[in-house]
Amino acid sequence: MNDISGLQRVLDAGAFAVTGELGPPKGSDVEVVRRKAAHLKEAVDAVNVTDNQTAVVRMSSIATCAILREMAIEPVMQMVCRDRNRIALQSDLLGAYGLGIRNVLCLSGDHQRFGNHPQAKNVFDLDSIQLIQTIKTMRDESKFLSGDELEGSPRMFIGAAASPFSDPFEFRVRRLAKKVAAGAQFIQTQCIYDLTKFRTWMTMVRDLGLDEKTHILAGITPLKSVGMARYMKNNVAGVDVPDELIERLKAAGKKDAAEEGIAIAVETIQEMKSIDGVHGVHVMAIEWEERVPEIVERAGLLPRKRVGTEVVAGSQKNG
Amino acid sequence: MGTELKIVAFCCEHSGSLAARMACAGESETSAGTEIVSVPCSGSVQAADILKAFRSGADGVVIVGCHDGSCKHLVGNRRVQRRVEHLAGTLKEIGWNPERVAFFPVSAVEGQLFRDRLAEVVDRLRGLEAGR
Amino acid sequence: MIVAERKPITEIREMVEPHESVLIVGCGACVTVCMAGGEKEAELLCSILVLAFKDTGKQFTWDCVERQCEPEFVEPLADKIQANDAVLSMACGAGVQTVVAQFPSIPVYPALNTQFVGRPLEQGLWAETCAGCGNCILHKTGGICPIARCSKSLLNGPCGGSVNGRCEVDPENVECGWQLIYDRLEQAGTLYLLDEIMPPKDWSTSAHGGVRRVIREDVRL
Repeated sequence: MNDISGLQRVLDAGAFAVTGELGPPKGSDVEVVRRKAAHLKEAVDAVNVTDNQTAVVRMSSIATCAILREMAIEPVMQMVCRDRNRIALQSDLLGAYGLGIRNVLCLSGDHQRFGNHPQAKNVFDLDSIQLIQTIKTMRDESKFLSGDELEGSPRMFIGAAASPFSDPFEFRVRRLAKKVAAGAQFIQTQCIYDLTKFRTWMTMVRDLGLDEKTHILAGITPLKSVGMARYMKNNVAGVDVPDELIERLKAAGKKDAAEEGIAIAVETIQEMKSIDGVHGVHVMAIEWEERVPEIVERAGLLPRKRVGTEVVAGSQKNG
Repeated sequence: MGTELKIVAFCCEHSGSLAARMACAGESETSAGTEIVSVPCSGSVQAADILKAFRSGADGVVIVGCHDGSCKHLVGNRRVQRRVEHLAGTLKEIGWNPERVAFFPVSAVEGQLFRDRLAEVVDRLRGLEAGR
Repeated sequence: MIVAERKPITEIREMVEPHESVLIVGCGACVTVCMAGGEKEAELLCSILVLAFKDTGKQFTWDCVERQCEPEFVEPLADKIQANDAVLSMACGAGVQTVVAQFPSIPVYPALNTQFVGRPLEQGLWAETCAGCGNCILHKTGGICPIARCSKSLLNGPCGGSVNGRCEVDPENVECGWQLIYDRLEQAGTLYLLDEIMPPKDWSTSAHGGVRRVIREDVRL
């Protein structure tokens, strides 16, 4: 069984990576997963699976990732610190590895106040940076957080999120450096619309040499409407939508705003290709997965070349 | 014809008490049955004082303080109004009519205003169900 | 100090309903400072209940002790307590339980919801500042507690939900604890402290570790 993450192979080969995202169903219907995943399969190198995002209960990330593996899709398992303590996190990490999952994105997690179970007790035993460190230790030293030996080594490709435009702005890159020092090998950013601001951030990233130590994938979320653009601008922390983009969507009119949103996403990806230190894009088209192949194609990033593949059933294919 | 209603009026000594004295000089029928309690500032009237009045049989309590901006203790009149607002909620919770408590501002020389406001209070109280 | 809030009257009513005579007991310490259960509040609650149960014959009286969490201050209430069917304590949870321990045969009800360890920010506003984690790191974070003042208790914050110095969980009311830490350390010229990765916390000294005790062997026989 090929132990190295497919996503890692793409990035290590110096190719511009494309990852997608999938939100599991708020229920037990596995077909929902298969349907969404089918749209993404040929369009991306790996698919993120969210972990009870916004503190809304959904099918678990680990299980959904396992379903993606059955479909020969490379999953990125998102792991939040909100719901599980270090015992459960380390345990699930081993389980994920056993199921063939090779990528993990370490996050703090949205506070339960945002979700549908605001009365729940939260955990936050570890924070995202400590989780990165923990997984790295499990992988590189075969040790649990307690110092006990673990049998084998979960060879995970470790990722983290970055929110370039949250506050304090001056500190964000230093915090990114902490994540990298802890062991983050790839970074997926919050969705970007303001390219000028992003370029400034990338300059700061390069100044610290972080682009040589980690792979930055810029977050891309296509806008469906003026309403969505305004909502993201006003309600989502760290997301800034420039007025020019809102004007473009307005000008397109209600009927064509979505198409304009797709066009903007394509343009943004093309810009990203030209920014030094950006090694890929992370396309988050939640509940709009069917448009992802088109976005990736128009951005000139299809077909996706497999850098070695494997199918969980046990057979090996080299690409 | 006097009123059988018993009213306790906490009056600020800088405004309410003086206006009340002026009003009494004109022998108003509404002044009978009203006990004037002079206080250094309307803001010194606590919720417990108001409820004590009800416990001793008052049908209504008024607090008479200075106009907004004229309080000698700066915001005493505002504080007591906040207290009365909050107490209204408590009274409702225990099945008492919050209209039994009122605040109104006067200046030291507004005897007529004092009489008029008090008359409004008496009217309102007469319309309420007895006991709570 | 410990910050608490009086329970809604409706809830308190239900508690005392089955009893004919209730002694309300306030506390002169923390709950006096946060205006929840001191003398004033005990007197007021007494009147509220008298009026609530007017014409039912129920008796309500009140008293207040120096610190309800210490048996020496609770013991002198013995006669008054024995003369009543129930006690309505206006102390924090520790005070209520001290009365229970001292007078196990009488029902004792909590009139307050004990909330947190905190301090007053302005008259009428108290905020949480200490989580009682049992292993204080205030010297490492500019005197601002990340456990109590970060909504996620991060040790390597802030998270992406910090915007304009506010916490996205409740931007109107909650400051981002990590923004505060950042500002303090920047002022002090010790921002480099934040470049260090703080390792996972040992939560065994906190409430998560189990029921805690503090012992001073030098004062025990």
